[in-house]
Amino acid sequence: MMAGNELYVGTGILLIFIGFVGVLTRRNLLKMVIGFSIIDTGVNLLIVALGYLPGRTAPIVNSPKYLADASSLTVDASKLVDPVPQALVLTAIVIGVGVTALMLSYVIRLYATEKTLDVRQFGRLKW
Amino acid sequence: MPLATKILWSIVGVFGALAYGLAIGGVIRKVMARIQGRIGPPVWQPYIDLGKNLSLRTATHHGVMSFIAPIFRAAGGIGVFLLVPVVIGVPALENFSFSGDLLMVMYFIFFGSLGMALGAAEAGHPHSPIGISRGLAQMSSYELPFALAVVALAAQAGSFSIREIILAQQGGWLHWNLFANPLAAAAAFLAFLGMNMYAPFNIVGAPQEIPVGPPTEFNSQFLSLLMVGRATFAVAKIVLYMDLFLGGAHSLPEALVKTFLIYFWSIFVGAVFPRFRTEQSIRFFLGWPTLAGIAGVLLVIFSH
Amino acid sequence: MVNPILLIAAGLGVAFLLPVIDRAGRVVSRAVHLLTLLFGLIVSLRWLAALTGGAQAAQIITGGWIPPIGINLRFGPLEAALVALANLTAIAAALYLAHHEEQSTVKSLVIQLLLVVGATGLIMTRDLFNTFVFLEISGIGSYALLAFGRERDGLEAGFKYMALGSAASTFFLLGVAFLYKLTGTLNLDDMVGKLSGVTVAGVGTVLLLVMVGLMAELKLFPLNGPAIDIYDAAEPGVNALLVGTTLNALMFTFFKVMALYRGNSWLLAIATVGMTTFVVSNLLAIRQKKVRRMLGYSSSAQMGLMIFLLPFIRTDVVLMSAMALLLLNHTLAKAGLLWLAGIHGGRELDDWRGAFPDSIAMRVSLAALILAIAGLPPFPGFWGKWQALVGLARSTAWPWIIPLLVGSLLELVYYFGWLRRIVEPAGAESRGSLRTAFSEVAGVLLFAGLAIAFGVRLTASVWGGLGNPAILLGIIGLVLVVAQGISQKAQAALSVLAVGWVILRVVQLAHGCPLWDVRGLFLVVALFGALIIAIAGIGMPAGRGSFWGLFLILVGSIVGLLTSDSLLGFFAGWELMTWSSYFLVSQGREGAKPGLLYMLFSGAAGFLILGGLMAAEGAGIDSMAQLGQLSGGTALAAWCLLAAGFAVKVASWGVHIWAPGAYSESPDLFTPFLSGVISKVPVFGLAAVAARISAPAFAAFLGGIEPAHVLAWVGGLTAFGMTLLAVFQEDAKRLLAYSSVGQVGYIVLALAAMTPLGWTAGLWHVVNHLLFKSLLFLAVAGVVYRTGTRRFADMGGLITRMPISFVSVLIGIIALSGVPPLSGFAGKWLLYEALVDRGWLLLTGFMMFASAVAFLYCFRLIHSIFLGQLKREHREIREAPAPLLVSQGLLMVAILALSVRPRLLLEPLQRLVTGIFGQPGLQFASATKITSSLGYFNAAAIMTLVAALFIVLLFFLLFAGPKSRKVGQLDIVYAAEVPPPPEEIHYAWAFYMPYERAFKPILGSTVTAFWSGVKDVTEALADAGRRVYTGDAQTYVLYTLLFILVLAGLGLAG
Repeated sequence: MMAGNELYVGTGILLIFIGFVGVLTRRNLLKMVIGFSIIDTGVNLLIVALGYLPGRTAPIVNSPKYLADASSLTVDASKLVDPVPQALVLTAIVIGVGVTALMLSYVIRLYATEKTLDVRQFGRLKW
Repeated sequence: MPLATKILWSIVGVFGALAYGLAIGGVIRKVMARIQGRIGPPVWQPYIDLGKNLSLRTATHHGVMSFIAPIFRAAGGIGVFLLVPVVIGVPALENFSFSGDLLMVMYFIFFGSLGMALGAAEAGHPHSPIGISRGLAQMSSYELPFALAVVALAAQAGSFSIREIILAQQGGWLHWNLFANPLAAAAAFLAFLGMNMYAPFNIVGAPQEIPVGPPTEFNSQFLSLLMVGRATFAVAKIVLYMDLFLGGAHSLPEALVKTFLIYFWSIFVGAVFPRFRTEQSIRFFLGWPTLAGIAGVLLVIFSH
Repeated sequence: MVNPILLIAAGLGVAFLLPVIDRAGRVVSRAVHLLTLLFGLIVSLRWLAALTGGAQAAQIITGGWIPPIGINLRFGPLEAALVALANLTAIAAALYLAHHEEQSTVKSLVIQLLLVVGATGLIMTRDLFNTFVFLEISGIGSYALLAFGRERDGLEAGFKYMALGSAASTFFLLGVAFLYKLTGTLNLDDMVGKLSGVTVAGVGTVLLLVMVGLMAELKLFPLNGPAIDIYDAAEPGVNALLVGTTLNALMFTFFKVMALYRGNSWLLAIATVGMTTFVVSNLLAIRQKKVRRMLGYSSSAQMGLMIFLLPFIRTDVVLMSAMALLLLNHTLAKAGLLWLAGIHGGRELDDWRGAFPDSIAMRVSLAALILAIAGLPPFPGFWGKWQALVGLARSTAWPWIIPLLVGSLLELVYYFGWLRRIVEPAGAESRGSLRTAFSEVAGVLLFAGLAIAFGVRLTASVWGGLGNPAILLGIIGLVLVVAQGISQKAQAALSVLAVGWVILRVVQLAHGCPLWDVRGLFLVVALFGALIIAIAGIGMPAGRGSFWGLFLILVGSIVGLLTSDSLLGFFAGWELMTWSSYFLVSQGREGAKPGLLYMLFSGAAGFLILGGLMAAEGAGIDSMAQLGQLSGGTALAAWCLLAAGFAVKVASWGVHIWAPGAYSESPDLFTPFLSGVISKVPVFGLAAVAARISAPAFAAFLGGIEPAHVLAWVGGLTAFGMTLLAVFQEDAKRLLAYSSVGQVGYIVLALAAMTPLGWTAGLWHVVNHLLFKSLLFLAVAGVVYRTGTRRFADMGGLITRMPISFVSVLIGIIALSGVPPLSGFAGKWLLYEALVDRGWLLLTGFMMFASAVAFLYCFRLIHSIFLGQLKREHREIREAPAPLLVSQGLLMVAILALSVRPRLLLEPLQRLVTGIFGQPGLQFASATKITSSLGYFNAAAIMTLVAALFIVLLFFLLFAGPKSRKVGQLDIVYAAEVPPPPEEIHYAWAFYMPYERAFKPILGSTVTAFWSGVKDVTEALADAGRRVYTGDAQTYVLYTLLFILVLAGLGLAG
């Protein structure tokens, strides 16, 4: 269905997979955070890939003519990729950064309490 | 029949029952003594006892309940007697049976026992409540076969009215419930043994071990009232059994013969059996007599 | 009207300005913070008023683009209500959190505001990607707020929560992206239309991703591990804020996206996961010893319940309002309880013994909020659950009712396990007080107050307005509960006035219309019983401070139950009665544990009844009067469930184990009411229901017997079993407890006969049992009050010291045992005639036996207390207080009246049964003679006979023989005996030892063993289930993946 963008879709999925493997198998808190970051990247890539159409260009208009007179603009929509996923990804990236930062600050605080980064030390609350 | 006449006849009836009851008591003591190889007291000994108790010069009691307990007892005995028709068809001897049916009689029986128990217990001797606890325990257990028998008869006659139950047995001795529903009769007659508290069910009074059972808390006229209650109650019971199982009576002699035979049933058994412990007698009554009672009820259910 | 978008804009703006404003001082920034929230509250409330008044929902278009291209927001009534609730919670939370150092920084204020903004956005937006953004704002806000805590455990929990949340939002975002790919739009309303045209195979998986993302955020089982940790470890105030803002917003989001799932097979999966969460979380919670963790499980359960309802909400207004009520209830109760948990500070359940000993306001709030979250009336959750059940019952989804009720019962188990500690008397170790500033507890008081206010309002709407006597009694009771200054005796006097007023009012209401229907009879019983207790209360203290307030609430609930014709009104009264009586039982010295058992069995009874009522509701019937329209299998199911429920509540054999403890440990003044009135309410239910539903016989493979016949045997077995057990008790109140249960067994049996005579017998016994058992319990209450003991072995000989109490007990046992000439005989007579008339011969014999056994305990009771020898320490004891004796006097007069003239009651009863069966059960042959088809008796004649004999014999004793002399008990010797030194012996222990020996084979404690087995199995299940939550962050993330895989697998298979 998405002729030409299988590579990007595939890479995105692979990244998500790798990220999850990292989150699930690494005992180090920092590595888990990296895992989450990779998942984020994978998702973003995937979303962009979904909107990608081979042979088309980014929906960015930067010709001086348009900047001078917006009404004169004539864009051939069939030459552009879907702009919405790209806009979404921009937001998602910002959010991802925020989440990563917050996670890292958690890691710092957790390290301060137990002097370890091993996730197994942080399983006291259970049942 | 005008009420005044009725009352008059009732008084006569009560005194008759009292005399009969005391006499039966005397006969029994004599019979028992002979069986055991003793000479025994004269047959008229109960009359002597009653007279003696009435003529004592001192009387003591331990409080209100112990004072009125004998009244309860005597009223209970006389009351039950007055609710049972003695001779059917003779209004004077049908007593006040129109005021209450068989259920009334069954529950009136408890009236005397209750008062007696309260009075004896107030006296404060620990042996009294022991005797009462045994008595109540035994009473409750023979109540089951008796109740089943009563239910069977009532269902058979379609009425709880004693008069109706008698009338349903007319037309020859084979119509008596003793033969019409032998299972119910068996249950009831086994229960009768418990009711009369002769051996093997005489641990309640425990004449040998605890010579201080409930009646020993009473003396002089109190004791005489207890005797009155006991005698009339005994007569009431056998009259009731006669009405329920032996087709009632149409004349006074018939009633005398039938009741005497019924009473002797418990003497015959009592004379030859040793005594049960309380829990043994309870188990006994909840065993075969109860099964007989259930079978009697089932007989009625399936034959109707 | 203010544009709702300002709610988001103002929040965001102030949030970012706050650090600057804070330069002017914390007071200023805090004020601005609160003002912003207040602004949000007022705006949303005004919108709510306008919208419910019929105004159009606001559509807000952003950036000049009209949907579906641009992002649009919607502000309808639901949105307005949720936003108002979020702001309200945030205000209370801010007041509370200001007292907690870690959360009193300006940073915390900013984040708190952001959470409200995030929630407001989530609620209002109609755009899926926008939803994701607000989701993340809320998420990051909550993680950050949690991170302010410095405790290790809080951080651990926060991290796990974040790890799971990140995974969840990843799925959600992926899902949204794919949806966009499939439909080409992000607008929710637009997408719904377009999605139906999409037939690509992957659409199911995509929807699954969205769904699981939301499910993880809403802490559904098994993805709720970290959320429960948060409850356990984080500051409760933060959790309270999250409940009111993020959680509600997420729930609403799920509600919005449900439109995408319409007609989709995932609906079943959503319902299943929701219900599983509800049942499993409630099950696992019963083994929690930590209060906050328990609240976490409870939150999961509540979310599960709401999620479960989502798929069924289409155009169903009933389910919609059910959802709204449940959500409101959960927010008020859970937030309030979390604050309370924070204020109290107790982590373990056992820390809560006698919590808040010096603050009635906090105790009432605590109790009210627990009742609210347990789904009991009058609080909104009850009405929500009812409507949810009705909605289900009327659809093909009715089987879901079963797990819903099971889960609700489990919910009662742990919440009342908590309450059990709270209602225990305060000790030295009791914690919690109002020492803190008012602003810290303001939220609790506000939310509890709101819950109560909503509750009163909702109840009033079902019970015919605020002016209804039942409601007024409840309100007076509530005031008395809170008003602590009034002395107990004054409160009792007030109760006399209140109950008396209701009696007058009821008489007034009944004027002109026939009072003598079943309802009227029970109303008389209940109010007379209540009056007796209140009068007695003037003489002696009862329970604790709130006794009379609770008592009036209880009486009010019974009046409401009896006068309400709708099934809902009946059940609301039933549950109100259950919990108010629970508190009263628990007020006994050792009443907390028996109280819990009482509550749990009553709760189970309630749910059985609810099941039965739902069978009727499913057939479109919502009032008692229409019950007769039921037929076939539905009628049978309804009849059986209702009868089973009532049978549990009367403590039938097999489920009787709650009764002895509840009766004997409840306050002495309450026991008569418990026995005389409360045990009659299920009888009323039976009468009201059984008379109307004509249940067909069981199917042939079940023997084809009539269900009523089964009930009759249950009643008979109860009557016998309990009577037998009563014989062996060593405790006066326990003995009467068993006796009481047994007596109600007779009533059940008689009613089950379903004949005019049977009903006459049963209803006669209802009144008679009220009279004699109240009399006995009151007399015993006086004795216990004076002697300080309930043990037979410690009493004896009190007849000389307490003669009037003795007469009471004497009259009581004669009336109980059925000995003529008192009223009890009529009861026995009616019962036996009815049973033989019905053809139940074996049962008749069995019951006669049971009645004979009753003599044993009757004698035991009166002998052990009043006869025998007086204890040395009781020689100076006084008679019971006068008001107690007045109550007893009233009861004795009533008993004597019924004994001499049974027609006083029998005649109205004949009218009553004629109205039901078309013919009377009795004839009145003369003024005093009563006849049935089988027998007859003449009460007046028997009374005269007894009196005449008595007088004659008394005269004989007084005047015929020698004058008798009273002698002391120990002043007696026998011939030839050496008088031993006087020694006190009271034969009162193991009184019926031989009897016990004889009955040993059937006296085994199989019933107790069975129920403790049930308890053990349930607890073992809960313990095993709890192990799912390993505490490991990675395991929890793995669960999300597995959850998706399993659901996807099921989706493919299905």
